[in-house]
Amino acid sequence: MFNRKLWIYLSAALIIAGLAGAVNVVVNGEHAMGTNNHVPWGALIAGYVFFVVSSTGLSLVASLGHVFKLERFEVIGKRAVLGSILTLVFGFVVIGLELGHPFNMVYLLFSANLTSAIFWMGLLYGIYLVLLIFELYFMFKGDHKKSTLFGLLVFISAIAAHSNLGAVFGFLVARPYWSGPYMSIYFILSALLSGSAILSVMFYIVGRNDQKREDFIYRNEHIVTSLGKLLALFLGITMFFTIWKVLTGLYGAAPGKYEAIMALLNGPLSGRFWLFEVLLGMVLPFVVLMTPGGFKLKRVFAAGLMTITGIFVMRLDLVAAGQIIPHEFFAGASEVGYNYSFISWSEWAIILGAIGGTILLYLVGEKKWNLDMDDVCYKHHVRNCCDCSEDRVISEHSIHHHHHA
Amino acid sequence: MAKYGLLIDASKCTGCTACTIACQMHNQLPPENNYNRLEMMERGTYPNVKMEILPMQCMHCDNAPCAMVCPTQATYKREDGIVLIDHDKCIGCKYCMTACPYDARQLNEDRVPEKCRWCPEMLSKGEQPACASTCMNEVRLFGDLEDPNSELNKKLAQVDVYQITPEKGTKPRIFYVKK
Ligand code: SF4
Ligand code: SF4
Repeated sequence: MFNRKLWIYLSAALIIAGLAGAVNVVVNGEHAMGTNNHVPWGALIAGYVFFVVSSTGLSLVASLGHVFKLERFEVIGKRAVLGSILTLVFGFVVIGLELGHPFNMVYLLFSANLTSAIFWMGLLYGIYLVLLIFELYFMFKGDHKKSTLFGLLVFISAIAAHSNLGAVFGFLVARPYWSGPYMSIYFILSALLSGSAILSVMFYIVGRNDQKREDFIYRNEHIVTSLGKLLALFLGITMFFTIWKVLTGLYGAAPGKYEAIMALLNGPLSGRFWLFEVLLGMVLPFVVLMTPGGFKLKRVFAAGLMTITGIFVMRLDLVAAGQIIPHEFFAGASEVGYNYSFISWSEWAIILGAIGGTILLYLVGEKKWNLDMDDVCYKHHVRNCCDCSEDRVISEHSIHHHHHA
Repeated sequence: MAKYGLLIDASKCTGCTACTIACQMHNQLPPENNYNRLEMMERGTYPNVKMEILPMQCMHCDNAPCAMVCPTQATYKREDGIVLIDHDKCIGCKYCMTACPYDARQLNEDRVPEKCRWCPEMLSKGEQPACASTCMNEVRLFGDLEDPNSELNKKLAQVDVYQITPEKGTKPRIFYVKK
């Protein structure tokens, strides 16, 4: 059922589009982008955030299994970590194209500014990437001690890097919609949401050739069902966060913040907000999951897809809403206008190309490596099970044969 | 070491934009870029209306958020208070643009966010930069805040001043005469 060729063609097409967009941006600079002096950060910043949120989410959810030892989630380990590395790398590609002078980044080392959240962003995500690679390496080697240690380090660095990304926005006193501690906290939460949504979709697709794969079943529950439950939980928390963000923004009409919230609720961003963020990104998937039979694999898959789409628009809106309200210089001015920006074809192409690149490299990973759990007894769900005789311990090799047969 | 400041008397501004053009000439800017500008707002209801004008440019903030957020110290503050950009170190992240509450920054063709420099080459000679010297009504007065005998300090002692959005914590170095 899973059509590998189709996915390869699709991702290759996306990559070609992305290359065209990238060339346009490199040659024509900001003219190829929908940004301007009043809205300096545009869709590429949102795209970058989308990718690194995904990366953080994948490794945070993966850590449930191999750091916090919830056996149920051990099975997602390698696939999640590989996905985490790839989304991070393509996040870097997107931000690299957004930067006017990416090669000047050497000055992050020689002329670091310790009060800059973007300096810390570079440093922390750099460390996080290196740790992720070590973690995956030791997972492949089957060195559980070391991979658990690196898993823990990845977990810590993911939290540090990602909450700092929230602070990139949160530190901006000039932008009332962003400023404050909310962004850092919200980014961690939405990483968990992204992670569980992406893994739901991923494991549904990976498992499709063989719905009864025994390594995906734990105490009679399929991994996609378990991920769906996580997804429902994080959807609920995200709704709660969103409601309070909106209510505190409206209450007391704090200048700048109030208008930005109104731009989302009833202004230029409202279509996107209600349709994609609220309906597609939160309410529908929550309903799909929480109605009877909601954790059936197909429905989790659908809910995951909806959530990912919604999250993508959430990132666009988050970046846009922070800059849409013009700074106010006159005391007592009554009229509010909006700062306008748009998303150029090149920006769309770059983001889609990065998605294509992630998918393609992931497929290569699936083909080249064994991403299943190794040396696990599926009867007792432990590694190197002592209760079983040798033949009940399914080795890496036999799983491979089993599902490629 | 001098500590530069700027006093602007907006009530004397006629809105002729000579300052904007003089600056573009002095700094050889393309027509779409300008480092100083006039913000306008209409007050009142027709037929009783008046146009309020506010000359704006980089405030060379003492607590400059643009310098604070710049990852590579490409944006930096000199001892005399002038905030400048080292193009060779700028990565083009535009963080300084999102951090500035005065919209002082403008991206140039080379993708570096540029802005008003307060023309230190003029100030250090004791001269007024182009925006101030070209103005027929002497709306702007640059000077040394540390020199008790500077024209700027004498003027500051005579008028009441206010600053723009001081609640952003930027500690701007531009003072506006209260109307
Ligand atoms: S006005 Fe803006 S650009 Fe100028 S120093 Fe202040 S924050 Fe920086
Ligand atoms: S765009 Fe350049 S000057 Fe502005 S914060 Fe980034 S590196 Fe610094």
